[in-house]
Amino acid sequence: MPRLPLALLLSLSLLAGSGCTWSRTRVNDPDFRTKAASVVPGKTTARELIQTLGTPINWVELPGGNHMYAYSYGDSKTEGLTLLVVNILKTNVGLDSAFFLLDDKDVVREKYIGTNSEDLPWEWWAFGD
Amino acid sequence: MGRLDRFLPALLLVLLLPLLLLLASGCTFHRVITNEGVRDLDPSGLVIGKSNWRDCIRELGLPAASTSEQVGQELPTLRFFSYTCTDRKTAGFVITRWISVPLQWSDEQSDRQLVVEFDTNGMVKDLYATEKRAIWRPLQGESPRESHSVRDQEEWP
Repeated sequence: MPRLPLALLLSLSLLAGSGCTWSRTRVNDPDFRTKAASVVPGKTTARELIQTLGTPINWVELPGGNHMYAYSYGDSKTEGLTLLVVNILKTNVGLDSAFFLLDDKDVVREKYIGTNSEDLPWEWWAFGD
Repeated sequence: MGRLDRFLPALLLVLLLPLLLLLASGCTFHRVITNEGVRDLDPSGLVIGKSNWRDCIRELGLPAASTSEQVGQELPTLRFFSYTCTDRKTAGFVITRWISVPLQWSDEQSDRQLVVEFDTNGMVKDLYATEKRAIWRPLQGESPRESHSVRDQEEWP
């Protein structure tokens, strides 16, 4: 068989047997960051915080009657190239915490929002650093 | 000769089946990296006995769980902050058609773990760092792991 038709046939077979994969998994509330943006230090109360973000996963007692609510959320993106004889996939996971410091009157005084899950890239190449 | 003619299709099938299975199978390489940004964290701005947990958040960001399974189990505290980047490499040979025979090797390591310990007043008490590379089993040996642990702030990886 001449080389060109053989190469074309091989390319077509590879094309027919190949595919791309995309998969996304959200951990806890996917809108957590947007909702947390509405929390205003000095104004939002513990009751409003729970109404907005739900129940915290942890509650930490601090000196001076202060306490801290901790939340977790995250994102995961998988991209892959699936060929006939080889599949290469990469998953980028970003897991985050958010801390809200409340005073003895149950008013939010400080808020800290994690950014590990922000702008996670879609990547399929699994090798290298 | 006539007997051979009768068995020839069956013989061909027996010989071709493994070949077909092989053609329908594939090698899989899957890598999962969690919290990749932790690799670039630089704790050199933290001073033991002087910096507090707020300085730690300002310098390094917030600590978080290192795997999805640990969310809700590994609770954040003000006793210590743990920053971990995990890397899982899975290499496999998977026959996907007609029968399912997965042969997979996984290796998951804390690629980089940085721990900041606080005293009861929330001041930085100690810092630790560990690095350990994941490998593609069974294609790589143990030598590329480059394991490294330090407690001395001047030797941060």
